[in-house]
Amino acid sequence: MRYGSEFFGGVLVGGALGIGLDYIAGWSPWGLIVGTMFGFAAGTLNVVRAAKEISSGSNGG
Amino acid sequence: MADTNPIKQFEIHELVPFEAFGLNLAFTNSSFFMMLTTVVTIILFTLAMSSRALVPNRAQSVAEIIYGFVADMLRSTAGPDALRFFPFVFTLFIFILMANMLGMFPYFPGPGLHSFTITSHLIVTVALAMLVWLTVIVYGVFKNGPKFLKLFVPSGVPAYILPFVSLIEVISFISRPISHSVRLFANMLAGHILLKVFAGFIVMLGAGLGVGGYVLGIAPFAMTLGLTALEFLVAFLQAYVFAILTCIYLSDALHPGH
Repeated sequence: MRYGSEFFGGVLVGGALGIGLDYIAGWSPWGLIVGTMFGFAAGTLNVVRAAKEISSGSNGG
Repeated sequence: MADTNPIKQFEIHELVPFEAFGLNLAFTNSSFFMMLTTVVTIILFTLAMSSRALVPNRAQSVAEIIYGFVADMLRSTAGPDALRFFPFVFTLFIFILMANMLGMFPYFPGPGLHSFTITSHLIVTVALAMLVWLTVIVYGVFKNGPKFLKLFVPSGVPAYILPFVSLIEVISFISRPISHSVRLFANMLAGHILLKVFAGFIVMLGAGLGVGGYVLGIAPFAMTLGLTALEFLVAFLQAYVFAILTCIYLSDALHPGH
């Protein structure tokens, strides 16, 4: 559940930023596509951070 | 047959209708449980700490353990200078914990005679998560000024991929309140639905099969029993996870730059 929501959040914000960019700059559909890809990257980063926090929390207390 | 709709528990009822400036500001069962959470917490802590003994009795030592638990969590994740945020984190932790625990009552002498888990509504958890997120931004900018933007520039990254990395960091930062709130909300919602679905099986079996149904109903009853214990664990764990993530985010506001 934890990793799911981290990843989901990243993709959602990336996609939303892409749609917003489409709307402002008129790049449809490229903003959405590129935005979602960056969102995937951010989501993966979130998951990696969450995993790091959990593994460091077990010895750090 | 009794009503076995598993999501009826999340309905909002208006207790005292009130309208102002074209907005519906009625006092609902959700508001009732928020107030109850606050009042019960204050009463319990006041009672527990009323003796102020050097050698604590049972209630006082529970209150002191909770205090020490949150203080240690804050100190170990965000550093000793983060203790100025202790009241904020402690309030968040105890509010969510008490709200989750009050939601575990199957029957409750309140409106509708059933308890209501306020954290199972997305709007409540979003409000809490946005509070944390905005605190991080406002305090981070107030304390560090433009240096706060270092948060989006990790050190040791080659210049030619820095724009992409920064963009990903920004998206990751914006997504924080979403994952922060959805985690608490989804856990509480899913857990309570599961609990009511299995409890509903007992009623359905009894109504559908008669005496045989009552015998078979032991199986879902045992499942409900186990899930109730699990839900108590989830109720505590999610309050803890919310608080520790708040500490991690506050640590970014205090010490930007990894």
